[in-house]
Parts: sequence; C-alpha cells; structure tokens
Amino acid sequence: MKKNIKIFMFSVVLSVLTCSGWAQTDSIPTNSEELYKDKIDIAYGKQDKQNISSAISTISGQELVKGAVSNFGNTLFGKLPGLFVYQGSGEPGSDSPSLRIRGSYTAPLVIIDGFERDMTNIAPEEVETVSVLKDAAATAIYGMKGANGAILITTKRGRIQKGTIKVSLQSGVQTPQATMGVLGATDYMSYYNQAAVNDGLPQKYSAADIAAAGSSPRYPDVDWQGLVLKDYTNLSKANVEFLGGSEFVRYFVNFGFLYNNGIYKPENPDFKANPNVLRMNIRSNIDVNITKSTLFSLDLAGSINRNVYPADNTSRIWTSLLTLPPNAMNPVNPDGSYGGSSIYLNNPLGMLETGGRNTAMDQFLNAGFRLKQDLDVITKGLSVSLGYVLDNGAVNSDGNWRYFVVKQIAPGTGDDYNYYSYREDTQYNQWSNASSTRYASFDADIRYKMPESNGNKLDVLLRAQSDKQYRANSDLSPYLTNNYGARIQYSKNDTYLLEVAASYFGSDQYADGNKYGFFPSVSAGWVFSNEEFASESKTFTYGKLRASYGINGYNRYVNGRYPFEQFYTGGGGFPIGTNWSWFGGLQPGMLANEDIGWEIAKKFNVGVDLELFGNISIEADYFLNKHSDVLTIDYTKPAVSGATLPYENIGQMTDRGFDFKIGYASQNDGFNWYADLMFSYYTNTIDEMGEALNSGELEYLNKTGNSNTAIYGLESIGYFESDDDIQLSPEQTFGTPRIGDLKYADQNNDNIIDSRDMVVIGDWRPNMDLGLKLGFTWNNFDAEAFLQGQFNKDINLSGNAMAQPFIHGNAVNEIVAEDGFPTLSLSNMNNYQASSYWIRKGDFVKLRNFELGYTLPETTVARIKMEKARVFVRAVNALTFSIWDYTDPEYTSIGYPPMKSYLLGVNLNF
Amino acid sequence: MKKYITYQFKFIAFIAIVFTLIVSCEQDFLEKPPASDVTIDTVFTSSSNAQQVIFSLYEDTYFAPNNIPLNWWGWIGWQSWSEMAEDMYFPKVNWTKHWQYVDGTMSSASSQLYPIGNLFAAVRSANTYIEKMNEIPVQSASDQTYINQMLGEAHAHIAYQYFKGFRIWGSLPWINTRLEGGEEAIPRMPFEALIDSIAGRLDLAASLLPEQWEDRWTGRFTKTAALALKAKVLVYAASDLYNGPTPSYASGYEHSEVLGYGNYDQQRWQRAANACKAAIDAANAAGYALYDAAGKEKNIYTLAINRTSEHILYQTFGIYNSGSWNYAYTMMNWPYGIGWYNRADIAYQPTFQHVDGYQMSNGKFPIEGYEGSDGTKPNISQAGNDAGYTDQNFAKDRDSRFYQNIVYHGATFGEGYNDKLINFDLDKSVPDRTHGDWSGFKSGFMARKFVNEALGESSAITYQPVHPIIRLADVYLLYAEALNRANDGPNAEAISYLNKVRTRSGMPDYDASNYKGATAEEQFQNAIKYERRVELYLEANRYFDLRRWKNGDDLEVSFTGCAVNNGVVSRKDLGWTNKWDDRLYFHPFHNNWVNNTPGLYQNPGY
Repeated sequence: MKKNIKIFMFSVVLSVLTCSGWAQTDSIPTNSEELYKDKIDIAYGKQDKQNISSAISTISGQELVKGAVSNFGNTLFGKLPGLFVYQGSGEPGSDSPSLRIRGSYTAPLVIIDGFERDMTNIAPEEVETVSVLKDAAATAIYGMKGANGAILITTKRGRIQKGTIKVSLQSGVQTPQATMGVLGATDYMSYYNQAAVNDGLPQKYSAADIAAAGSSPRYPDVDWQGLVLKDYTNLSKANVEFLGGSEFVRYFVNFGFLYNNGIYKPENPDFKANPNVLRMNIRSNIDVNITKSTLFSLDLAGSINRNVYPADNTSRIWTSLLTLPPNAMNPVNPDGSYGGSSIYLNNPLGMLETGGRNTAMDQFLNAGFRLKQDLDVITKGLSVSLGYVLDNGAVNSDGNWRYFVVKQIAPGTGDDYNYYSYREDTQYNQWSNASSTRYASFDADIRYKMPESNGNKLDVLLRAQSDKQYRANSDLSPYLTNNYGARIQYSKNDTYLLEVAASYFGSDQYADGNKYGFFPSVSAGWVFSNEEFASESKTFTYGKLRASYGINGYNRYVNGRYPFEQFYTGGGGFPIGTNWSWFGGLQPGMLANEDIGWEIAKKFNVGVDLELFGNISIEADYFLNKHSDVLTIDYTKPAVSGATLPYENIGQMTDRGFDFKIGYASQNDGFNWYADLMFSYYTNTIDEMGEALNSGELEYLNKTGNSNTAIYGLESIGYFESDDDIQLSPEQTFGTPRIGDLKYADQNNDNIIDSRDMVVIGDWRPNMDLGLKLGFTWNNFDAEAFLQGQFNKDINLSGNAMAQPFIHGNAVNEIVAEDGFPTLSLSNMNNYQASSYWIRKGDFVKLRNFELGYTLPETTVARIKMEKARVFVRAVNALTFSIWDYTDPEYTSIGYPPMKSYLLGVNLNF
Repeated sequence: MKKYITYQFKFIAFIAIVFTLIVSCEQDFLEKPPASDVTIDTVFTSSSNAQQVIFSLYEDTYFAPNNIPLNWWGWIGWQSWSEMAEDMYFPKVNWTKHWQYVDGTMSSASSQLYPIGNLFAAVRSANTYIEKMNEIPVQSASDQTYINQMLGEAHAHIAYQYFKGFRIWGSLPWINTRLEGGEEAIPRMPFEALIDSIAGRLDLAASLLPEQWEDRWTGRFTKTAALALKAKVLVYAASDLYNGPTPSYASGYEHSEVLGYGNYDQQRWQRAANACKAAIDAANAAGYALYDAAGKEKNIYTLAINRTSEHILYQTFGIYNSGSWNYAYTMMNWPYGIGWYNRADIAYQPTFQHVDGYQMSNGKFPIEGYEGSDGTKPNISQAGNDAGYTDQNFAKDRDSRFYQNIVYHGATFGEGYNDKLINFDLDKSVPDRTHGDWSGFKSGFMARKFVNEALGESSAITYQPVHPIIRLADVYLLYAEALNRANDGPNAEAISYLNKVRTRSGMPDYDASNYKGATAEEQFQNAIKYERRVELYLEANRYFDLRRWKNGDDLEVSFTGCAVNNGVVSRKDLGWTNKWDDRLYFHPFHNNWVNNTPGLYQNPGY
C-alpha cells in the first residue's frame, strides 16, 4: 500500500511537471541498460550517463555525418535540445551558422578535445561525440568561460581491435535553397511609369519602349541572375579513416577532402573568380602505453583551406544582381564592352570576369600532448595527467583587383551605336597579406576515483590550466587566463547523486586585485527507478530527477584590452603648414573603469530523464538563467563631460525556457524503426541596460523590459484613403504622403510621426526550435529523414533594397506585386520606414537531410575482401515549408543564399 | 589501518606539492605586459606628444565648418549648412539629415547635423591640455613658448566649439574642467555669461598665440584668428535674435536666459564693432589682406579653391587626386561630358531665386520680388527693364560673383583644356548637351564655387581643398554691419569697408538708392545682407545670418528652376518648398541628452 502511494505521488509530481510545461525530454534509441550505462563526455572527463545530474545533451558523430555538407556547424540544426543553430550565407568559405545555447545573447564556448578551439575546420567524420553543456553545473569548471554554455566536441580515438579502414566517397550537386525573382523589363517599366505618375511626373517609358523590351541592345531586358548564376554547382567529399590498436599503441588517423564550388557562371581563363573551397583535413590521435601505468597521447590535427573568391565583395555582387534595373544596360554591348552608366557602374558580369580575384590559404596545425600517470601505487584510483597544447594558424591571402570601363549606348536609332563611357580600365592592383594566430595551453590535473564500496562512488578532480592566446601576428598583449578547478562527484547505490564543482578563474583583462573570481555549482539527482517501490514498474523502466544551481562567468573582451586603464589612440589630425604635411592627433579613448569585471550568469535547472516501456526515452529540462553584471554603457550619466563613457557591469537579462527530447526505437528483427523529437524554447528579457529611461508619456520608448532581439519600428495602421485623411492624420515626416501610402500610429499623440513613435514590432530571432528524426532499417535497406523547424521568427524587410522598387533599382517581384503593396514612388521614403508592414512571419520547417542506403549482402562483400559496402543517396536541405516563400526564410538579406544539395556516395569498410 | 593512513598522507602531500608548484610558477602570469600604450601620463611627457592632443581638435569632426557636403557617406559627408539655406535645391533630400531642418519636422528625436557630443568631446580635449600642460617637462625657452602657444590654441578651440554650439542651440553648459564622466549636473549658462566667457577665452588666446606661425605650422589658430572669431561671436551676440526681448514664440519659456540677453542694448553693437576693428588691425599687422591677385573676374573663384592671404581660419584637407571619393564635391557638381568626369547626379543646384538675387554689374537689382512670392513670376525692376533684362538673357551683365558662383546654361567650363559651352537644354535632339538627363537634375543651375575646374582634365591631378571658416572679407562685412547698427546708420568707415569687398570683385561703390529700406540704417543693412549672400556663398554663413537677423521667414521658399527647351529659357516650379518655423531659431537637443543630463533644458517648442 505504501509503495502504491509513493508511485502515485510520483506520477502526480511528474504530471505536474509535464503539464506546466517545465518538463523536457530527450532520448537515444537503444535499450535502457546500454543507454544509461553509456559514457557521456563532460568537462574534462567522461561519466556514466546514469550518474549525471547536470543538463547535458549528446549526439554521436555518426549522426552528424548524415547532414554534413561543407561546414561542421551546419550539421547541428535541431539535433541537440537547447542548442539553436541559425543559418548563415551559403558562400563557400563563409557558410558558418551562428550558435546560441538557451537564448544566450552570445556564442557558446567551443571545446575540442579539452581545449578552446574553432569548430570551422573540423570534419564531421573526425568526431566521436558532441555534447552540449547547458546548465551551470556542467560548465562551472570552465569558470569565466561557461556563462553562455559550452559545446564539447570529442574526436575519435583508437581502440584495441584489428585495424579497420573506412572509406567514404560522395559527390553531388548543390543549388540555392530558394530563388529570388526580380522584375523583368516589361514589368519594371510599367511599374516605373505607374510610380512616376504617382509622383506627378510624366511617364518615362512609352508603350513602344515597353513593347520593345529585349528586342535590341537599345532596349535591354536582362535577367542578371540567369546570366550570372549556374543552375547548380558541384560538391565532392572523400574521407579515409584508419582505426585500430593494441595494448601498447592505439591509433586513429583520418584524411578528409572537400571541394565546394561556387555558383557563379562567368569564367575568366586567367583566373577563376568563382568562389570555391578546397579543404584537406588530417588528424592523427595516437595513444601509447609507455609503461603499464603511463599513457602518452599525441594528437595532431591539420587543415589546409584554399579559399577563392571574387575581388568585389559578395554584397556588392548580389546587390547588383538583384537591384540592377533589367532595362538599365546590356551585360555586354554590341562592341564587346561591358554595359553600364554613370549611376550603375557595377556590372556583375564585368565584376566577375575582369574585376579580379582573392585567394586565402589558411593553414591550421593543432598539436596536443598528454601524459597520464596512474598512481595506484600511492592510492588505488589516483592518477595525474599533464597536458600541453600548441595550436598555430596562418592565413596567407593575396589578390588583384581593378576598375574596368563600362559603356552606355547613346540615344539614337538603328544598329549604328555610339557610346558614352564611364570610368577607365585600370591596371590590376596586386595585394597580399599574411597573418597568424597562436594558442598555447598547459594543464595539469589530479584525479581520484575511489574504488566502489558499499554502493558509494566518489570521483574527485583537481585541475589547473593556463592559457595564452595570440590572436594576431604582432600581438603585444596576448590573452591570458588561469583556471583552478575542482569537482567532486558522489553517488550512493547509483540512486542518489551529488556533484559539486567550482572554479577559481583569473583573467588578465581586469585590474590587479580584481582578476580572480570564484564560480561554484551544485547539482543533485535521484534515480527513482532504482528505488524499491519502482523497481517492478513496467512503465518507468528508468527514471531520474535532477536539479542544479550555479554561478558561471563570462570573460568578455569588450572594446579592446585592459579596460581598467584609459588609453589615448591616434585619431584626427589635419594637413598643416605651407606644404600641407599631415599631422596626426591623439584622442582619449574610453574612460578607465578600474572596477570592471566579468559578466555573471546564475543558472537554475531542473530536469528529468525517463524511459518508458523500455523503448521510449525522455529527457526534459526547465531552466532559469539570470545574467547580471553584463557590460554596458551607462547612458543615464550626463554626457557633458565629453568623455567616452566606459563599459560597466550594470546590465541584467533573464533567459528562461525549456527543452526536451523524446525518442522511440522499435526492437524487432527485420524491420526496425525509430523516431526522435527535439524541442527547445526560451524567452529573453532585458532587465537593465543602462538606458536613460523615459518617464510618463514616453515610457513606451524604453527598451528595458523587452527582448534583446526585438525589432523596433513604426506601427503601420493601414493606408491613407483620401486627401482629407492625410490632412487630418498626424504629420508623417518621411516624405510627402499620398493616397495609398502607409499610415503610421502616433504613439505619443504629438501629431507627428517620427522616431519617437517606434515600438516593438517583432523579434528577429526565433525562440522555438524543433527537430524530428524518423528512420527505419529493413533487411539491407536503411532510410532516415531529419526535419527541423524554427518558430516565432520575424523577417524584417525594412531597409532591404530588395523590397524598395526604384529606390535602389529593381526589387523582388512577389513583393512588388503583393496585394497591399503601398503606392509606388520613385523617391518617396514614407513607405520604406521601419514599420510593422515590413515584418513578415518567417516560421519554417526544412527537410534538413534525407538519406536512403543499401548495404550489400555480407556474402557478396566478403568475396571482395571487404567488411561492409553501402551505397547511399543523400539530400540536404531539399525541402522548405514556410508561409514566407519569396526568398529563403532563413536568409532574407541581399547576399549569397544558402544551398541545398543532392549527393550520391559509398561507404566501404575494410 | 596504518597502511591506510600512510596512503592518505602520501596522497595529501602529493596534491599539496603539485599545486604549490603550479601556483608558484603562475604567480605573475596574468600581469599586463610592459606598457607601450599611450595613456594620459605618457601624452604629457613632451610638447611633441602633447601637441597631438591639440592637433586632434583640428580634425574635421570638430573643426569643419560643414559648409558643403564632401561625399555620400560618413556623418560629415551627407549634410551641410548650405543645404539648409534657402537658395539651394538639393535633390538627394531623402539621403541626408538636412531634410528635417527644411520640412518643418525637426524634433527632439531628430539626428543632429553637428552632434553635440562632438562639441563636448572637443571641449574635454582642450580642457585636458589646459589641466595637464604644466606637467610637460620644458626643454628650452622656445619649448616653453610653444607650450604656451598651444594653451592659446586650447582656449581658442573651446571658444570655437561654443560658437558653433550657441548659434545652433543657444547657450550650453559651460564646461571648464576635465570632468570625471559621472554625475555632474551643470545647467545651461545664461547667454550673456556664455558670450563673456567665450570672449574672455579668445582674449586669453590672442595674448598667447603668435601673429603668424612658422611655415610648417601654418593653418593653426593665430592671434588674428582668435580676434576675428571674437569679432564674429560678438556680432552674432549683438544681432536681433539675441540682443532683444525673448522671441515671442518662446514667451513663457522658463529658461529664457539661455536664449539671449532678454533686452536690447546698442552698446553691444559698439562692443562688436570694436572687436572687429581690433581683429582688422591685428590682421593688417600680421600681413593678411584681401585677395586680389587673380583679377576681379576670378578672385572669388580662385580663393575658394586655394589658400590665400585672406584665409584667417580654415579647414584643410589631405592631398586628393581628382578621382578620389574622399573629396567628391567636385565630381558631384560637374557638367556632363566635360573632361573625364561623367556623373549625372548633380548634388548642388542653385535656384532661380538665388540667381535673381544678383545685382547687375552696375550695382542695381534686375528683379524686385515676385508676384505672390511665386518664383516663376518675377517682377522686373525699372533698372532691369532699362538694362533690357529678360529671362532669356538672365546671365547678361551681372555681378562678377554670379559667374564665379554659378554654372548656367550659356556659361563656359573647363578653362584651359576644354572651354566648353554649357548646354543644359532638355531637348534630347539638341547636340552637345552638358547634362546627363538625370531626373534629379531639376534647377538647371550648378554650383561653380569650390569646384576646381582643372580637375576635369585627368583623373591624376592632385588637389588640396581648403574651406574658409573666417576670411578677411567676412570680418570687413561684420565690421561694416556693426558700425551701421552702433551708429544708427553707416558712417564713412562702414561704407569704406563694404566698398573694399565690392571693389575687389569689380562692383561699383555702395549706393544707398539701390537698396530697400526706410532709413539709411535699413538700406545699409540690406546692402550687408546682399553682400554676405553673394560674397560668402556656400561658406556656411547664410543659414546662420538669416537666423541671427530674425529673418527666418526668408528661409521659407518654393523653389524655382530654369528649364531650357531648344534654347528657350523658361522658369519652372521644382515642387518643393523649404519650410520655416520660428522654433528653428533654436534647434532641439536630442531626447536622450535631455533625459540623462539635468540642466540641459530643452529649447522652446520641442
């Protein structure tokens, strides 16, 4: 009876947790025994999953390879609850996404094999696991680096086994995920005339002009994108892995190769300006047992990137592609020269064919050495290890660029063309540049893993680490930090878990006496399924409750180094004297803030890990993160001092939300299917930002209290319907309004619409992320689909040239043709103010990857001396579902769009 | 048991040793490396370091007169005071901050042409020098002199910043120390005290500054510059906007002491006249003189593109080649098809009303106003009719400064290498037209002043632009104005200084009968008004002159341009009216400043 009451109480507590939206979940498709005995990567070590009481989500590298195209970050979409991945551009070499953990305002710490490193140059095939450390307990030991969470990447290592060779080859095509259609000449001229009439000007184009569009070089009708962009471009990857080892030595050696080609069509035989990346990765992780109790590890990783891109910057090329009026000029004139005019000098064809090209050769070499000594002779379970890391990076870039002449056909008739010419052909200007970075770190730790007795497990870690980082060639002030950490993990009967961790962390960024901070955390867990009352439950085959609280820091380098001193910097100056010599001035920099310190995040987390019926796994977390001491300028101070005010630790923000993962895996023979659902949600509020607060009527202008990713603008309340309407409405100050123009709300009732009527009109960062994985294996076939979606995303088209026809030239045709598009004008900016009219829902779901594989029967492959042979087809980002379909919902600015790709590949194991 | 204790002891000892080792070798790891940084303590270790603090004050950000826009980007380039005067059509209206100054929507949320933060930053730098100069180790007697001269510059810059500030906003908080950047609430100083403070600093500066700098330092504040600036400040302060009762639109404003004196006192004009005379005497002694070397047809054009003996205080620029975008004013105001520039988007387009304003070469006005202030319907004066004026030959026999300030249909351009006839015909069938059919080219006129025609010959010609802040002709006109107001009419001295300026450009002497006005004083004042308009065109004076004279209404104009169709000149309405509102006599402070700065009272009407 008592037992039943306990079970009942539990169910109640759990239901409450779940229903109130706190609970979260997570799963990995295996049975419980394997699942919770798994070792999970934690900061500086591994831990049995069942003994973890902090919030950590993990995924294996194998999973990531499936979504892998050219950039490691892009494999993480929706895969890990709590981690938000935001797509960037698709240009080869510039395609890193931005990562945020649980709504934090800045990027997380990235740790590769124990040290802070850049994830851009790692190949997914090298990765064993990726863990996301979400709560304070998981990151406490990182001290001043943990406040924004951490991503822990662990590369593969050798094992005691017969050597295997794994080869994977894949090749395919890629094309933009969405196309952007701009107006053709006929539409452009018709709309232009309409806009001119609206402006009270005569129509510019006659009916004959419009009819003649495209008929001769005098009447160009240019589809710039069609002319300059290929339909698709190619992409190839290869990877060879050697893994094996003996008692004495174990190895993992990997070679990777990537060729990622750009989408531009024009080619100049002398130099190819089409952007492309050629990357080679090499990694060798060797473990050697020097003595029975001494382990030496040597990790070497190198990558060479050759990145080619046009001399003209991407933004200018795409601005031209999308906004050049289709009738403004010929791409190439009848005399072979490039078309152009005084206003339109940027001929994209010319820019790519003859404008020049840049090359950047990046070389990275990371070397890590570690010596680990078991000290069982002193005490059983005691060990020490010493590590040293030296990472070097070098970027050698060079390029050439020039101006080229463009010509405009002079007015006239017939095929006899005269030209006006603009600019002159210049010689190519050559440039080159070399830069380098260096990172060195030394660490030492002592571990004591007490032999288990009476169900008591104790694991103690003490460590020290010093980092020195040179971010530029001649950096006279390297970035220095010291970290002393300790962690004690205790568990009783694998049922009651307690973990205490802390760091004493120092940074050279702060004044003497103020350099070190203390960052403690505590977490506890209760595996209730191990209790007697639950041991027979068929429902809860596994169940754990956990909670954590701790203080993390963020050593933020804001506005340069050593903010506790005021520096004078060169600035200003003037030419002087009878021979106009230039004399430079000195200007005071930001005022010193001697009390400046690190930012703080106090994090609370509760979570539950469950396994139901032996095949459904759930991992769920609720969090409340209070950021304080955020560095911001105190704008409440009077500024008549004329000084540049310093950053001070006064900002405060709150992030809260939840994330969960639910997994299911069937356990049949033959046909097996599995599914994972990941979900993450957060909200962000600015509690204090040093704002000079408006009071009374203007209180609504204050940004304090809003999300830090809010979009501000005017509230559009429809259109002007009549002249009376215009006369009677508050005065709009952005150009003379006319009938059909946007009308804005006068928030402060002062009868003028200006920047004081700006309110929150949206939020540009989606705060809800969903991932859904579905897959099955059937005999020799396997298939998997991964869907990811982001919600509560507002697209802001204000200021986007693509939405402003004739202001910048051409525009996206769906927008111009939109029902409700305000009155067209050639110059009136009234409608193009930041306003709610330009805020569009950007929620989307994408099919991030889809893969179908066939594994050849073992008997067949054995004949050709292989262990495994598998062929597959893979589609990455193949489908997008969104209300917003004018452009890619994730990339609405003018630039190189993100790509989707289709690949064919093989996996061969020897 | 014993064994266990031994283990424990070993264990603890081991940890202690390892950590002691680690901690001891990391003792100084986090020290900041030996400084090669420049801090306030290293700046004031020699006069050659400290002078850089002074140099920074001459940077465009703080020092520029903002008379014309320089390019299409950057805070300094998109805006100028000339765009706000009434005689310029500026087609890229939506691109610049000047829009809100002329469309009547200026508010406390508007961005400022001269950000007040720049003003206080410059004042801080100057105060820093004043505070720290005594710490500079003196190397020699001449070093001591130099350190003192720079003290004079520091005082002069403070005065210059407050001069820039009070003509925009009225009085401001007077900051005379290097503040900590904290909580000080320093209220706006009463206007009268502010003017006295500025004048006091300039007297101090004049006593410290050299008459002329040695050649390598030419361009810095001189004694004459300090006295000329003082003269200009006092003439401004004596003008009707400040020297009189609080403007009626501001009645009830509780801080009216920051707007002006609150009463009229003619002695202020005498004080201004004395200051002008002192400046002129100092200028004569130091070798400044009206520039007259290029001939009366070319003097003004030439001094706008070269540094001359007349430049007392001026903004200098680096050495640019003609193709440089860093000084794009030239190429933004260039007729199409002449030389190598081929831009069609003309930035500065003088209006027909401005052209109408020029006297004929005989000193008489051809146009005397408009029917119902409609610029397309000019009233031709008796003198105009006598001279046979029609719109068709508007460019015949005008003040020589008209030809030097304006490019018009029928002018020549590109002297020395092209000498092309300007043809602004709108009819596309007319050959050799010199505009690019750009829809924004509306007024049919271009600016010639400050446009260096020589640059069109090739893209490799180098050029060092110079923009006057105060030149001698300005001081002469201020002197003449002050004498006229101090004596209820022009005395011989006043007339002679006006005539010096006119004679230099080949214009006949002052003839009161050519000017409107009920009294001799008013007639002469109108002559000053005319002279400042054409002589100081595009030198950032017009907008401020009209405001200090309380002639704000003159700033409200519906622009008229010149259309040429197949050679026939007609007037056209440009469809734009510059608006004026009395509250623009004192511009608003930005909301943020009012919110966080107690004592920075908002001006009336915002």
